[in-house]
Amino acid sequence: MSALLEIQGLHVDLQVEGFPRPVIHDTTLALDAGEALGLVGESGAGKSMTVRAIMRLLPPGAQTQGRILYEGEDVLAFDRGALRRFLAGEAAMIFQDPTTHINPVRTIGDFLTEALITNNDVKPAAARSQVSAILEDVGIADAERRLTQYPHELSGGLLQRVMIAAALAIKPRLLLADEPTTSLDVTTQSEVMAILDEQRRQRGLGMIFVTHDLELAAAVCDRIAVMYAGFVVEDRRAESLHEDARHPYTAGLMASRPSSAQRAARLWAIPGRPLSAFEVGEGCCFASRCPFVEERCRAEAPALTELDGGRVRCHRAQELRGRLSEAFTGGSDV
Amino acid sequence: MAVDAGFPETITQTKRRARHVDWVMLVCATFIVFVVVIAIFAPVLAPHDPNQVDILSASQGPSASHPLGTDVLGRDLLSRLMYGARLSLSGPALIVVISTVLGTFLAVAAAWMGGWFDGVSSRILDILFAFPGLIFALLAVAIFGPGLVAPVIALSIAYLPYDARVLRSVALRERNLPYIQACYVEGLPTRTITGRHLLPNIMPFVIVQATISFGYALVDLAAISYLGLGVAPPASEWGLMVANGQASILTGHPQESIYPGLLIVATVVAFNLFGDRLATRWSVTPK
Amino acid sequence: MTRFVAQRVGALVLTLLVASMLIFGALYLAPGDPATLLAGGHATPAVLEQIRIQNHLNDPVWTRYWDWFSGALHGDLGQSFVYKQSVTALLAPRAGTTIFLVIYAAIIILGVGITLGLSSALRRRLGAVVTVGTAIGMATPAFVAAIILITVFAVNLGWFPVFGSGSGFVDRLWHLTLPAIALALAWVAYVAQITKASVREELGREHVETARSRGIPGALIVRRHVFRNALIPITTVAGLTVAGLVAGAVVVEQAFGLNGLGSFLVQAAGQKDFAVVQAIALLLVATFVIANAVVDLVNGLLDPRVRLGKRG
Repeated sequence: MSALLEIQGLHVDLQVEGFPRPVIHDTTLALDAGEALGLVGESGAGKSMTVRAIMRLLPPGAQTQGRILYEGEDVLAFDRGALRRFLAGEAAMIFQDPTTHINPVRTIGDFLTEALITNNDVKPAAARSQVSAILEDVGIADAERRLTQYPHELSGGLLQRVMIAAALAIKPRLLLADEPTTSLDVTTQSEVMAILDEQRRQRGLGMIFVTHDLELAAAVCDRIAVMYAGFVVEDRRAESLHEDARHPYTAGLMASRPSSAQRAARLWAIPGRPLSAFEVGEGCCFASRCPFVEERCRAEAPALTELDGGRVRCHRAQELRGRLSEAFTGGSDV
Repeated sequence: MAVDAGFPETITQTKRRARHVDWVMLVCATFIVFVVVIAIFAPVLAPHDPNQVDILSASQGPSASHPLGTDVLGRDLLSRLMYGARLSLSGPALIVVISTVLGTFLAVAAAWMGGWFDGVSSRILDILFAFPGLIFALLAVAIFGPGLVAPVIALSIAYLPYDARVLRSVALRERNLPYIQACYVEGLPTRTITGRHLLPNIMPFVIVQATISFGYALVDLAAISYLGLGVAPPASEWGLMVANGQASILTGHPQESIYPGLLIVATVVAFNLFGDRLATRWSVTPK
Repeated sequence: MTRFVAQRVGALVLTLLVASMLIFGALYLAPGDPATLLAGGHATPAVLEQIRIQNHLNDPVWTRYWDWFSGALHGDLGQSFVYKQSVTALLAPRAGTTIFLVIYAAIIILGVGITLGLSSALRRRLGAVVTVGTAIGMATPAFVAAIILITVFAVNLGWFPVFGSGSGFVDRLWHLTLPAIALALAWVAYVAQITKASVREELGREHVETARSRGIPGALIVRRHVFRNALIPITTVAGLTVAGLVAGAVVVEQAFGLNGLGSFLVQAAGQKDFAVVQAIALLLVATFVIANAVVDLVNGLLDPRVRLGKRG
């Protein structure tokens, strides 16, 4: 089965004060058509940068290495015309904060129809009826009126649905969602999440879903890739992640989730603080916080290797199988 | 058209920059000190008496005895410029001191007391906003006659609303910070809180505002003198010198007007840039 | 929308009223006896009293103010002490020159300033040059700009006349070019700087990122998303610009020997011709306040958040 999207050895440096600073060391992922991949990690892990790299939205001066293959062609090598076709009809992105990502001085209708009118040569009237239909799909009634309103007149939840509608309007095959519900309140979160999930499945779109919430990713996605300090450290099917996590970091993340099912004397957290990509040294990126660390881990960086139906970046993954949850107190898995 | 989407600077970048020597700021500061020193020591430094008329040497170019030449009445330009610094700088200094001190007082009082005081003073200042500085100064001259006193007072009043508005929002923001509220809860008297705590912390803003106002004051006051409504001849003030020398431009001797004009521009640039750099260094968002 | 307009107009009227009271009251403070001035020097007490009665000089302040203000609204601005003529008649011919000059300068400011700001925000190298230029431009008072322009373009190159307002449209245009440039210079620099900062900031905004992510071409992004949003801070400072123009016109008219309201104001101030000073001051302040109100309205049109009231 040929992958819709394949990221091979992506490495990204940003220009900070004239010096290149790494934000992604190595992202290697594959996404099949119609599949949902969750990209999970703490702040600074490089998840947002990865999806932005796919859309070629990195800040000026950013240097990339590696390849991003969309249906076999390298997005990073696209010329202007090819890139425009890609962004206009194949891939769409949903951003985190809709209130800042939508132009405040233009109407919602303008926002929704802009891409269609500019890129796909759709007549304004036809564009409006197309987007009205999609607005109904995402659960916004009274589409006619909404089209004439301005962003500040809508709530965050409604705006995010508009953002989703805009993404769906160009009929993409790949959806990139960068923490789409993080800026919403809890009740709205589940509503918007449900809509996004439903529409994606209905249209058979591939999706990369960026989030820091492991549980949310597990609920919505088929596979999950965990990132830490600019590396993909684990990549596994969502159902088996729970039982079969092979990387100490993943196990740590799961152990630190507060659970309403169990009482704990203290909330447990992985000791130390999450590293940013540029702080990583010679050896394994997680060495400084890992309870299973050995000399080899500090000296030599492990590669992403296949193991038990998924991939993991750990020297000791094979021998630590099944023993990971022991090391973490207050583990919430039953 | 290649569009360069500039990304905002990170906090680290700003801090890094602050540690480096800011050459622009240094040059500006040096120039300001230079001009001030000349103003203070003009009687000692000037080669000639600025008022000494010598018709025979009128409108000459640079020479050994007159490094910058002479004006239409044969007076040494260099000496006149040096003495001119005294009047041209002291007027704005006075204006800045008055309007900044009053502005700060009003701003802190309004921010602290709020309520009716804030409302009333804001209304009054709003009305003052309707008067451009120069117009206000002209009104003052119409009432009290030409000279330096009327324009200086008028400009101080005209600048008050600008200073007060900027400083009021700063003071308000500062006042609502937890440490001020802590002092209040402790029972410290208003005098102490505003004097020892609030005021020192808004000082950077006050100083930056004063620096910016100095430039405007210099320009406005020089304009009044240029119009013949400020200092009276034969005083040497840069604005007045520009006016005096204008006729000479037609006869091919523009230096009498150009030199004081350039000096005004240079001084204002120095103050503006210095204030601007100071603002960045102290993380004071300008205006 | 109507509420917004009504509020602005109300504030405008109030400010005008209070400002006019200030203008009138200020000259009332003037030392010296207006009757003596009117009499032109020596006069017996009886004659002085006669003059006082004739000119209502003994009436209370409020009636005198109201007489003046209501008269002004009807176009009667009083009598000039110096010229012994109706002020309105004296101002009418001069107003044309000033209006021409100010509009000419405003066109230069908006045209050159915004273009300069926009292009320097989009091209890095031009940006550096513009930064230096604007720093110097903003520090140059109108009269200094005037004499430099006169020296270079009028005397040395002879492209433009040195003084005078000219007659007839094209001749006026030619005569008023250097004055308009002198007046506009500092403001061009200011507007260019604000435009550049504003455009730069808009380019970095998240909604621009969204447009880029959809493959909208760069030029279209600038036109549809950056430019209009960036204009909002510019219209905000437009009010300040008008104040500067009004004040600057006074200086520039004097520098170029133009027979406009500004130079007349200077002359009248020196001669203590109160009626003229009051009238011109009122006109200038009124222009400034009205212009500010118009700018506010335009701002509201450009930014729906201001117009419709922010919700939440």
